[in-house]
Amino acid sequence: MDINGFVKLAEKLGADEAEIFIEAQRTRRITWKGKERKGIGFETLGMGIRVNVKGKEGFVSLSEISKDSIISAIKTCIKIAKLSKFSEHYFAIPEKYSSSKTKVFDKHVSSLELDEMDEKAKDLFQNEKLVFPRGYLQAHVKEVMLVSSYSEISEVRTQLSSTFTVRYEDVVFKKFVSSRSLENFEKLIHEKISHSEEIVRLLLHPKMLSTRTANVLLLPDASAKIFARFVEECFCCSQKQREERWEIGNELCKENISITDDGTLPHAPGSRGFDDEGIQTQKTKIIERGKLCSYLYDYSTAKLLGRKPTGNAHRSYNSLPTTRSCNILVEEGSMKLEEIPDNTFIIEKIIGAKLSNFVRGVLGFTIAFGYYLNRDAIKPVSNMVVHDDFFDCLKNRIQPCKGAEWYGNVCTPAIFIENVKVCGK
Amino acid sequence: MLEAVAERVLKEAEKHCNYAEVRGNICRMLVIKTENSTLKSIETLNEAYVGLRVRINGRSGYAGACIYDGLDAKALVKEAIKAAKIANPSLLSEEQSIKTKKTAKAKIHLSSFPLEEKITLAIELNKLSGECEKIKKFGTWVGEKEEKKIFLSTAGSEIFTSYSAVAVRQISIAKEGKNYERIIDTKSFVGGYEFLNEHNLAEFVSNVSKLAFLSLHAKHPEGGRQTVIFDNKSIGLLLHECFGHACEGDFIVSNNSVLSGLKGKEVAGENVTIIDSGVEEGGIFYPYDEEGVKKERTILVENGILKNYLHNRETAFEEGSRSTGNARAENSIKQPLVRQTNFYLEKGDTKPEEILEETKKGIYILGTGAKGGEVSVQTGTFTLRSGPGFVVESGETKEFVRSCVISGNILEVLKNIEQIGNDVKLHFNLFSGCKKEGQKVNVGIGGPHVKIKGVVVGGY
Repeated sequence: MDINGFVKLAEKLGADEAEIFIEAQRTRRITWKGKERKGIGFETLGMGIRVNVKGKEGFVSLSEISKDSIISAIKTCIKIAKLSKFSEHYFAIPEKYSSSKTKVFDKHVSSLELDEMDEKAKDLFQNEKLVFPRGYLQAHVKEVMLVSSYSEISEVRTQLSSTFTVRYEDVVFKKFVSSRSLENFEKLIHEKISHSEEIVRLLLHPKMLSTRTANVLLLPDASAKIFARFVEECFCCSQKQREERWEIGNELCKENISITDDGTLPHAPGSRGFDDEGIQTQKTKIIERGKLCSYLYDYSTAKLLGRKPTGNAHRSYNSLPTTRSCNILVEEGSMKLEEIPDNTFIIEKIIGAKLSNFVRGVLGFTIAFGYYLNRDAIKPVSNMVVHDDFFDCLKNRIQPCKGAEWYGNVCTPAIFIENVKVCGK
Repeated sequence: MLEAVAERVLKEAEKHCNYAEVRGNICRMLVIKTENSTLKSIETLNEAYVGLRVRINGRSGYAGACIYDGLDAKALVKEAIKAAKIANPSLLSEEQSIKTKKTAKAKIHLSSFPLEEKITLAIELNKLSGECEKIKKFGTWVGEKEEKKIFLSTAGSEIFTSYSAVAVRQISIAKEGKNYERIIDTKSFVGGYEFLNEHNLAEFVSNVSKLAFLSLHAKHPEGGRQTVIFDNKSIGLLLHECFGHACEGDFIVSNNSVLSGLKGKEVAGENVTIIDSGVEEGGIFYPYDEEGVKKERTILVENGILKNYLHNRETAFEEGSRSTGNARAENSIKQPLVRQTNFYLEKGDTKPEEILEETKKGIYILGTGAKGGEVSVQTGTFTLRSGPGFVVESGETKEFVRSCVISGNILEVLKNIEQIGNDVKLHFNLFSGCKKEGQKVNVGIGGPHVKIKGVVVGGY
């Protein structure tokens, strides 16, 4: 299909600039639930069309791809643009493109067929001590192509991911692993399973304790969920949130906190050579030694705020770009797990991380599995709500521990926070 | 094109397998977004998908693709056969052969309301929402969706369903000094633009802004176990998280739910009856599921006793039951999962004001501004963020308090229901939905005002 031809057609029909974003995806997925095992394979192709008519933007997406449907979508898109408001910062069509060497493709993932994945799943999830009653293993190949009035880019990204449930007596929790390469993925799965084996006995027969003020230690899976949400809500400037909440240079955290977004790490789950507006990805320091260094931007928000884009525009074919992190790296600290004091809840698994309200600075989630450490005695706990002022925690009461682990696109150490309200009986 | 493609795929599949079913959907969505009194964007989304399930020697295999000119039906069937080969054999409850067309009523069709007027509506509502004190940022979306679906099977089913829906979403952020609060709420409606005449949207957007302003200086509720009155908007979220997911047949038959094996047992107070139904006022329109089974009104809990689970054909067979028509998928390429449709608590006989009057101490929480939840069905722990609310003392609402995280255990919370109101209301969110295994679907949720003792509330 002559995509350049469609861009030219849009220009002929009145667009000053036109952009066609194409997303072709191949997915192979094995799911298992108890004895049941199923496979599905699907392929999709979708197209997002943006035009700029005298500074006004229009957007239409379609997956019913034919010459006629594309022409009709271009016409609708131009009509919509003409009805839109003028805003010089509104459209986000990049002016220049460059090449990237970020490793985001693994041929071993791209060619995986369902029967091979079935064997792989059987190999990976065989364990003498633990049971894996539910889960999936998914191989995903995404080819994105962006053709505009200026230039064109394309990139093929692979992704292997798995969510699996670990069961040991009455302890059941989910783990999530994702990587762009098979080798790295298998290593991460083995690490997660071995960690589960180590900790699972400490979590047996959990109970709710009374409401108290105590320390909490968020183990990496739990702290990753919190930091992912924190970065998304507070540091991603996009059309959704076109503002910088704090001035650059503000001290937001204790000196021991540094957070970076890096889209260039080889084969890391959130890496990509280009973002979805064609800007090359980069390493962006968000917080360094407690001080705010930068926000993350898509093209139009950066332009609006007088900043350089950071290569963080993410989209699917049927949505306009929005700003999201690539890989969030929280720097490890010096605290050792052996140094954890008494009166501490050690939290392995949380639910409701997205329920924290970081606009207001409220940390709020439920402990699904953890244990309470006091005078060398260990009490497994569950169902308790952690609730506190997160901005105060960051400024005065937080300490990252040694060592960091991946959970999804976040690599973080365990995080210790002093004197937090933990609600229960 | 939908019908022709679905027929072509079914014809090809028939050559190779004992049974095949083809699903297809064509969906169009328009979203007009405004912010701080100006138009922000207009987005039009179109999707057209086809999905296939084949059965070969008792094994199911799935495949899917976009509908386009050159769709290769042979390749699609080949992929589904490959998938069937790695599946383990399973049996399905009896298949149905249904020939029907069902369309949700719309008095003012989406296309008869001009785009320019939709834009004006969004901007006017947005301006109104910004008139409240201390509102720094106010966003209003007007959205509409229309979807046509087809289900064909080798057993002779030909099911066509279609509906349209309209919604308004309000996002209000209040700010004073360094103090922020954000409240988001959506009003959705199955039908057409008669929505405008049947709902007071001006009041709706203004109320969201007012709640954001009130929340700015409000305190957190007291943390710990408390008696909580859920209004008839917040109760649906609680029920969906704390009970709905645990009733889903795939969790039940794989022994992954705390409700597995409890059929016939008491799981809630004797005044509690819980329903899942495909078509309800205020809820979504879902008359047939993704396996061509009619979605009937399913009684899950009757007078506190667990009577049934939600099933697709496979989980129904395993449990020795009938499919309840709950096989659902985000779109036709995705594999159907057991999901809720319109899940709600039946009304009781107490007036909401009597519930309040008879409460000595507790909090009264609102559904407006609630932020969703999460559940671990294996352990029974659930959590959700409610909207803001009021402290209740001696039968009266007192201090306004901010939204809070609520937590509990499935097997405890419904047994602790003390009073049930007589004011059932259902709602759904056209712009968002419930996520399971990466698939998002709209669900209807609801119930009346309900008082529950001993709920864990996060607060200072």
